[in-house]
Amino acid sequence: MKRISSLSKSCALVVLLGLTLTACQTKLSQPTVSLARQTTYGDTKAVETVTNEFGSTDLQMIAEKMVGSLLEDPVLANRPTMTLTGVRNKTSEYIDTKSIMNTIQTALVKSRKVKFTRSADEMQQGVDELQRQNQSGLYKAQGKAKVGNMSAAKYSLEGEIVSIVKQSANTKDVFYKMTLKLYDIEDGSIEWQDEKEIRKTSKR
Amino acid sequence: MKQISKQFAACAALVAACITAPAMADPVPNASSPGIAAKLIVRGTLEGVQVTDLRSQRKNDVMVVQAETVNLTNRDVRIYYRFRWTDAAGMQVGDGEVWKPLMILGQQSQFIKGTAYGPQATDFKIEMSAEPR
Repeated sequence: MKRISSLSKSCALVVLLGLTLTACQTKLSQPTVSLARQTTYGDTKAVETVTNEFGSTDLQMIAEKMVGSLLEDPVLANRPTMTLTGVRNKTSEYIDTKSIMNTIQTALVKSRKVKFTRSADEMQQGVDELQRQNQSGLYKAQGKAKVGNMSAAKYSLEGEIVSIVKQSANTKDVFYKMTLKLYDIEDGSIEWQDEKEIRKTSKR
Repeated sequence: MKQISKQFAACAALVAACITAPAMADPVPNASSPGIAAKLIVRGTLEGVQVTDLRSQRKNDVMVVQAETVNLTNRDVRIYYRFRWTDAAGMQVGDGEVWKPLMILGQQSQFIKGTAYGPQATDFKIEMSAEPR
């Protein structure tokens, strides 16, 4: 009887030791940003799931998909000129679509596969600088930017983003779809088009 | 005294077996071949997901990579992945991709695809991480 008691005691001791060791094992963290009551610098490339509204991960995933699809396409074979036009936001949220297009433009410019010309939004600054160089009388002729030499864009990049929201008592499902089209400006035809779909579901 | 130490050793072996059992129950390798494994950077284990096929080609002078992932378990597994692109000198091309989440249902197969940032990229690795659902 004494032997059984000592056996059970030693077993209990070992089990306790084992449990303590298990508790000390650290689990690998995931590349996510969760809601925490502290401020830290986080990974800008992490998957953000703080809420199910349009977020940084959605912006980055849309831009990556569109840039990858465009770079693969033979339409960029001869380094064409391109300009940005607006992206219509047809969702119920405020989304800075210009920011999505800027991310796409940055990646395309860095790839050296496209030349971007000034968009309509950016034109006034260019015109002002040309007038300053040519009409102010301040500059010598050599090296002065001449009026009438701007390159016109062959293609324009435009699109829209839509969302479908479904909500029940404890579940919210949001479906985003971004469509981007590359128009040949001269003949108006679509030379490339792609879509990126994102589904986000959250539960209370 | 000798008997107590024997009992202690037996119990310790039993507990150790119990602790390591979950890890032993996941013998699925991350890749189906050493060649594919050499292209993966996996954080821990892929929880039963395996990369079974990997192919790349240059389209319009840009590297495009496609990998097939298969969940060999009955549990759903969410993986996170991103491609790392490097040039001929082994230097990183671009700023690094965003982590992308992908849910793979039990026994399901999914393709993941990546396109390099430009013609400079000549090599790649796929960084992966997984969490059971």
